[in-house]
Amino acid sequence: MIEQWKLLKNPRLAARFDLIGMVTGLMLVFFMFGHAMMLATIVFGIETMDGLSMWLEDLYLAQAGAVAIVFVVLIHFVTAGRKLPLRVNEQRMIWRLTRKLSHLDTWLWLVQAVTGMMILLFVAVHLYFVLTTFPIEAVKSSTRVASNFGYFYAPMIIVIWLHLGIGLYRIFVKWTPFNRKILKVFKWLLILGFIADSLLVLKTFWAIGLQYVN
Amino acid sequence: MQEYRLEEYPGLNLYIALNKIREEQDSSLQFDFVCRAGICGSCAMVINGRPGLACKTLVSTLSRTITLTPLPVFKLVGDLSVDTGTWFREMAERAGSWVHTDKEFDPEAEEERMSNEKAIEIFELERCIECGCCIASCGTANMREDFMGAAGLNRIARFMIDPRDQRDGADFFEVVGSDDGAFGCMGLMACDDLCPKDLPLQAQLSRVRRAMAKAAFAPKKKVAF
Ligand code: HEM
Ligand code: SF4
Ligand code: SF4
Ligand code: FES
Repeated sequence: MIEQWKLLKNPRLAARFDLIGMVTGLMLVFFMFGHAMMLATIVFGIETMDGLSMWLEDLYLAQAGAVAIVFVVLIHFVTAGRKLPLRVNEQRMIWRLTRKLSHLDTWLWLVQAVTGMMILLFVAVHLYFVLTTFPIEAVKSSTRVASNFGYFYAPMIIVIWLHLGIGLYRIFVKWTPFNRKILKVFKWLLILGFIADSLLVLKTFWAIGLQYVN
Repeated sequence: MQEYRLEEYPGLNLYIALNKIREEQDSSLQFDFVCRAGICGSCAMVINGRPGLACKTLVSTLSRTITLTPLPVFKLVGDLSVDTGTWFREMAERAGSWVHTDKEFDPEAEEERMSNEKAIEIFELERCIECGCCIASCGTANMREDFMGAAGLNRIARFMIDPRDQRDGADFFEVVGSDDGAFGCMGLMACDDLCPKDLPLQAQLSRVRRAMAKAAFAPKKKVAF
């Protein structure tokens, strides 16, 4: 007897999808690092951030980048999202197991699956508002944050860094025999560090924005 | 869920506790054991939510109320008894769990030599007692019936490093180059954390995954049926 999937034209597709899911995940990780650094320029003042965003827009890097990232997110969603428990039976099984197992890594995978889907929504809303009010300017962003959009960004920040940190950790766990105790320390340092950093930047935007609202 | 009460004493383990319950309180209680020394793998069950071996678990390390359930994934025989045998047999057949070689076996000849390190490395993976804890604790195996699990991928790794096995990357890819094999694993590592024999499962899962990713990009071999 022969398993029929082996007769398909390309039985290597599962491997390709797995790798594409990882590579797009990594691309988004590096994008997020860059994105966080660019936003952090607000700490040096409105002019610094505006200078950077103008430079990126003049080179069309911001526009092209936004389009590219949308594609990467969609590809990532399709390839990495293959592992999502979409059937009711799968959801019941994983939920039953996770609840009882008291095993943090299994919980965190569930966190990753849920935050992944949340990111999709967050990104859609975020891109809509940023792109319809293009170009990006510090004052515009700050007033947006201060006019209560900050309550949208704060959870988005937490959700994204959680997803990213857990994902990066799991890439190492799946592909290398590195000591997991050490990887775990790095994972939490990364997650908590970036959440703290992003929330501080958000606070800066908020403070600047408050001067312009009203 | 049935409830039994039992007096605890020092050194009491779950295997003895279950036997006492069966002898003194409920002769119909079903559970498996053979070796009572953590060698045969029959007595695996879910202990307070976590798969483990009853004979290796001291009652004193657990809460006052202990909840025991059968291992998930495997077919239920009754009470705490599940059929791991059929699952592992199927897995072994799928994995081609024997040394594949076209060399003629000569019973007179001296056995081929293997370096000591290699032998120890293989032996380390051979220590799997097929208890099924890694399968029962694995999110993927719980969701997807055909997933080979850590025990299955560990078996593949065992033959991958065996110099006598002539199968190459493409041959192994046929077996585990799919979402039922190497790429099904999502890296939850419950298997690695819960294996009662402390097998280095993370290292084997990643070894097989790397080899299969490499095989996916190797030039195609003509496959004839
Ligand atoms: C800022 C955006 C995002 C970043 C930085 C990111 C990063 C990552 C990384 C690094 C991984 C690990 C890849 C792997 O395990 O091979 C991952 C996995 C995953 N991502 Fe994302 N991701 C993002 C957005 C999304 C979105 C929008 C979804 C949509 C549902 C999603 C769903 C998933 C899922 C389900 C996994 C788990 C795949 C698995 O278990 O193998 N991610 N992500
Ligand atoms: S790998 Fe460990 S947990 Fe899995 S069957 Fe073997 S001994 Fe049991
Ligand atoms: S690491 Fe892979 S095989 Fe082990 S429990 Fe997780 S998904 Fe299952
Ligand atoms: S009875 Fe053999 S492992 Fe527990």
